[in-house]
Amino acid sequence: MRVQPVTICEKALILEALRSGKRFDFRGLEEFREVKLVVGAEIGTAICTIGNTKVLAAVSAQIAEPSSMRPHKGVINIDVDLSPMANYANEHDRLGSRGMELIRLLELIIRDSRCIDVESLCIRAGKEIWKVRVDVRILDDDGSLLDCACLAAITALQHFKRPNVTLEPHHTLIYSEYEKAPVPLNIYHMPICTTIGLLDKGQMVVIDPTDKEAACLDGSIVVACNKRREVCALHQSTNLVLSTKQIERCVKLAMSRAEALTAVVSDVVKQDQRERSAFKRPDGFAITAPALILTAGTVAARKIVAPVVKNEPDVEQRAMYQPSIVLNENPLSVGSVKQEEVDNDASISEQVEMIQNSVGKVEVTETQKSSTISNRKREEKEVDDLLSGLDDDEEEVQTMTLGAEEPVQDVTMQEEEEEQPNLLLAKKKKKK
Amino acid sequence: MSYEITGPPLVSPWMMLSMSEARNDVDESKIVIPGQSVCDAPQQFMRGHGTYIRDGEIVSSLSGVVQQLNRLLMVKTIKQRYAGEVGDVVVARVVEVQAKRWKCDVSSRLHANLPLGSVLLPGGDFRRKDVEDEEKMSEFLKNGELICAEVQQVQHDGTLMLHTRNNKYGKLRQGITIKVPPHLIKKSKKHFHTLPYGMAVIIGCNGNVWVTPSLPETTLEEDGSHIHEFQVVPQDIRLTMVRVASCIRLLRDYSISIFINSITTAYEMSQPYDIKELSEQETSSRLAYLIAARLLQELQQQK
Amino acid sequence: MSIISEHGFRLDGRRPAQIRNVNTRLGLNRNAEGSSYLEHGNTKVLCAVYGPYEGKASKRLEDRCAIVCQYSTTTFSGLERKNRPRGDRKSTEMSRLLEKAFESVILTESFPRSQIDIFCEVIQGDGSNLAACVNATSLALADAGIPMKGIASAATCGIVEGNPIVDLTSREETDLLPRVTLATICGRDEVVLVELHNRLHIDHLSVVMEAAKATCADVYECLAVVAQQHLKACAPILGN
Repeated sequence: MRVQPVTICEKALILEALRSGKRFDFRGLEEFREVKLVVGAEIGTAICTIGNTKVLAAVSAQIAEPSSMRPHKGVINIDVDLSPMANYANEHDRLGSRGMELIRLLELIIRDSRCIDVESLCIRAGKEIWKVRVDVRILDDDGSLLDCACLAAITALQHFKRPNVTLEPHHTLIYSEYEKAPVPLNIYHMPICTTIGLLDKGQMVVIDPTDKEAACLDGSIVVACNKRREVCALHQSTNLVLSTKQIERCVKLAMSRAEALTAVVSDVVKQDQRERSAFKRPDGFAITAPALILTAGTVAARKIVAPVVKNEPDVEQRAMYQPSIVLNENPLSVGSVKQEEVDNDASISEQVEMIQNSVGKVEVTETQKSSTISNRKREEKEVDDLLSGLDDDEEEVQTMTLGAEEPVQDVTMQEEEEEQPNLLLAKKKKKK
Repeated sequence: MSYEITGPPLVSPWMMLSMSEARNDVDESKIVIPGQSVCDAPQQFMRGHGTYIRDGEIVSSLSGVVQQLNRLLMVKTIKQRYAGEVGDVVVARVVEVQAKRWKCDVSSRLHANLPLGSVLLPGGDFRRKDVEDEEKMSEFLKNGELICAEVQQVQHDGTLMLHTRNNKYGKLRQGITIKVPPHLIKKSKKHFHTLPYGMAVIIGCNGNVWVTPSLPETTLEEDGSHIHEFQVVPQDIRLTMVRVASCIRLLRDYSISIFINSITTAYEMSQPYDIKELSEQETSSRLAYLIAARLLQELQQQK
Repeated sequence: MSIISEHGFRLDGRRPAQIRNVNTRLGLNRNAEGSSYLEHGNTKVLCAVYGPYEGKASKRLEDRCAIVCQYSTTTFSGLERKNRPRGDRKSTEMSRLLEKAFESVILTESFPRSQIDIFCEVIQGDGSNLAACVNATSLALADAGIPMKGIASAATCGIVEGNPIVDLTSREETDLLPRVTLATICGRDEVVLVELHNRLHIDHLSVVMEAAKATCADVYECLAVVAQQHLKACAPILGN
């Protein structure tokens, strides 16, 4: 899909607000959004959310042959999946320039800064090494994508444990997690990334910009730091002219953030560790899903119930509480039933019944009458019929179509019945 | 056997010529490079092309020569893409046929427009163009055809509007085209020249030079339309054309300005040599020196 | 083998703050609008600039010029033969960095809807490849007569035991040495490109930045002289 540009007035508004120190989510210019980190039930998975940006990272390991140039070093591969689900500007199945930049930066931060000891991933020099694969999937993009992805990847790597192996003279023995506890990766340090937006030729600094803000800013600079006060990566994201003082200032901001976030990551991983060793079943990602179920139009704590097959219906109750899957229903009344409408339907159904009776058609099954919600008994019987005699389906269809023709002709003159013939016709078409 | 591998030579043979003669036409004190301040007292001057304002100072954005016109300061660069002025005659190639206009490549930074209403159709001039004409546009001028046109207008973004409302402009049929950097084309009033060797030359301001046995205005039929079929060109004229084309290439390679005098001088001085030899480095550099010397001599004589 | 010997000399005999010899030729490619050849010691780079011209409709921007860069290294440019001269991740990243850097240097607002193509070819890579490409491109752009804010100059600097070393060669570009490639306009404090490799401690950051800035200013002096000298050679004989 084409990128929707930010409109001129929107851009002007955002810039004006930023210049007077205000942001639309009530943050200060140098405030970060809330970071939520969750590790999954499966080892080596993590979801990180910064505000609305959500990223999932999953780490897996495989035994592979090493490259001839580095026979005793393991391999870490990073793969990013940037789909239109995250941001409709992304291309489907192809990594655009943004995706390539993201992969390259993640590789720079995680692989090139050597935070993982790759030599410990070697099983047999020259023959077998562990190939660790980090899959980063962007679920939702609202700015600071790299920050979120980096954090998720780092947490997943911290959380991940590879199977334990022993070297036998002729083969390698890999133990499952029930035989020998899996071994965590050897991580030297944790690089944490910060995106710092810049405005007015670098005079103003906007921290952790959202997607809309980022489109209005002059440019941004990406700094990755770790707890040991080292800068792991420094990358100018977009065209911008800076001074060295501004770069140093950004680095200092990123440094303090890195120290805070490192603590968070360690906490999360340690807590999960504790839970697992206490043999408590980890919740995993279930805690991120809201305990609400969306139904048509409104969000309410309701349950979806399959068509109820009961012999003693309670008509009054049904009028209030409608099952969402009902067969052979009046399409107009689905989901919009209120007390007032029930009366309307009742009157129409009476009229139709009158017509039906006057015509006196044979084999007018109950399905021919207007299927209003109030006529519960009929519907149940119908459900019973259908459920019990599924082979009779075809016959029923035919009878229904036959019957439908007569009432249509008769009711053309009456305006009130206008709804009905259309419905019946519609039903006829549906059945056909 | 031993080989000697080196980088590019210190000064390329082409440049040796430009740097050798007394180049007093370029004032060294006025040469600027991008980012250099152009004047000492910026308040007195207005900034023109090739400059920008930085912290209140007028700074050059091009590498060229500073020119002052009263209170206007501008930087003129030597090499630049053809910009286009009203009245310039250009030799362009059609790249696209659109509704009611043709898009032509004039070696400028944007394609030029040739509207349907600005062409002289065969069989009548100045008649209103109707729907039929629109459909027949590609019959008249297809993709890849070469035309000679005059610049009627320059739009604000630099797009040129061309027209061929004259018999001397129009489709170019038989000839040789030579692409020359536009800064080598010397400004002159006449663009169409008939050489005494039985052929003609169109020096387009955009850098395309067209060598042809006959100019468009001479190939007209009775009703005013141009002759459609290709005419057989006799061999001696063809050889002359190739020689002229080689001379123009020589002038281009040695950074000698291209105008009618230089072409004729080059042609005459190349007579002792074979056409094939003209493209070899030894002959061409020797010849170029001689041509340059002769032209400078003539210039001094005129003064 | 240490980077700086006990007497304070580097592997090729330079001092820590000394840059390599800069050798340039402009106007080599007759077809391109601007072209240059640059040598930083043994690092040799060719650059060609085409444009501004009317490019593809997909790349067209309504208010400014689109800049397309291609960074490619020949298969024989490094220590080991490279199978793919361009299109791999590293080259794509370098191309992007060059594009972004030159978008801030070139006055793109002067030509809307046009496109400028920049092609860089590293013939021999002996360290500071990106910096050499930036320098070569600046010269080629000056040769092509494209308006810029100034000539951008770049340099790669590292730090060893607290001492900054400038203009790194490939033997000094190891996995352990942190290095910063910095590009500034006209040697001033206007940074258009900053790229860091390996980890750098925050206390060393300002030291490296200062050293890199000073080196960029030195390189700029060399490039400025070259650009000025070339102008004389460009002018046509008997021209306007």
